[in-house]
Amino acid sequence: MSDYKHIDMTYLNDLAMGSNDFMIEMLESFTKTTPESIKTMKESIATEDWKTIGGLAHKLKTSYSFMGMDNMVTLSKTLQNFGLEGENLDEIPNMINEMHEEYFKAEKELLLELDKLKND
Amino acid sequence: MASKRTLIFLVDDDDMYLKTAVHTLSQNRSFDIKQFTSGEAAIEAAKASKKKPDVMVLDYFLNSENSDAISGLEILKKVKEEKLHAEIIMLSGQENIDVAVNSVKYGAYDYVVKNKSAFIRVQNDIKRIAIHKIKEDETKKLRKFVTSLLTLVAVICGIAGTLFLDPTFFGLIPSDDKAPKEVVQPVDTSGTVTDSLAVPK
Repeated sequence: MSDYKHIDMTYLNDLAMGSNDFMIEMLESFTKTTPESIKTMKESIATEDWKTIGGLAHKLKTSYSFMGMDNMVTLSKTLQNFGLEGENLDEIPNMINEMHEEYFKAEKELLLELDKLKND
Repeated sequence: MASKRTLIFLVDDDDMYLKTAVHTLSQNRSFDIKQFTSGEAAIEAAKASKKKPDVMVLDYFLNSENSDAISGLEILKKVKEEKLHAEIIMLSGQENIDVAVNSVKYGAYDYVVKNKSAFIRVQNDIKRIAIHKIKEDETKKLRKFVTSLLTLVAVICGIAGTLFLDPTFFGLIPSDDKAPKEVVQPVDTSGTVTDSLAVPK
């Protein structure tokens, strides 16, 4: 039973097949690259670079699925389509803000999990 | 069945997906895996290496971040043009019928959506490709062996045929150099036999 509200490690655990090193590598990679991607997305709003936003959302979608963040997978999918198709552009800034907030809620749990794995 | 190592090129610009794919597929000890973040690098490596990849697992959306990068579909076309003989498994983040149709149209072995069962499906695809390649290699070897055998039989038959047609080979008829020389007697037009050894006057 998971103690977490924002993440679910079930899928990543299945993929890890008992490898703590793999789990640690994935969590470290996710907590490093996701804030960077969100930052780039925010910067891309100013330059109206919707394709970059769509491309980054495409990559984040897969990463979120590894962390069991299903609501973020759905949000990324929509953001990807809006960005790449150049549709509903006025909704994009709010969606990125929502993603940012959700990530920081999840980050506490991710770092806690990372800490547990390192001390195992 | 003969065992053979399968060389797999994994191509994805998503670092986390690439790591996961390597981790999952490397559980199979008969797989040799090389990873690339761009299709261009994978093609160059395939062309340069002596051992060509048996399988290339390509992300359809290889230009998600770098719009100058070549897409998975373009890489698929290049692999076929360059005759690299690698089977292609196309990965895509979304269920899109156009992506699937285009992939198959240009010769992909399979089109796999990046969902939770994707790695199992990719692994099963690779196992099937490996078995098919082993069978194909065995058929080629067998065909080569049969061709060599038939050539040898043809050569033997040719030699034997030549010998059978030559009755002197078995000594049934003496050969020319062993047969006694016939003495040709000159014939006199008057009807009397002349002594061929007689000294002419």
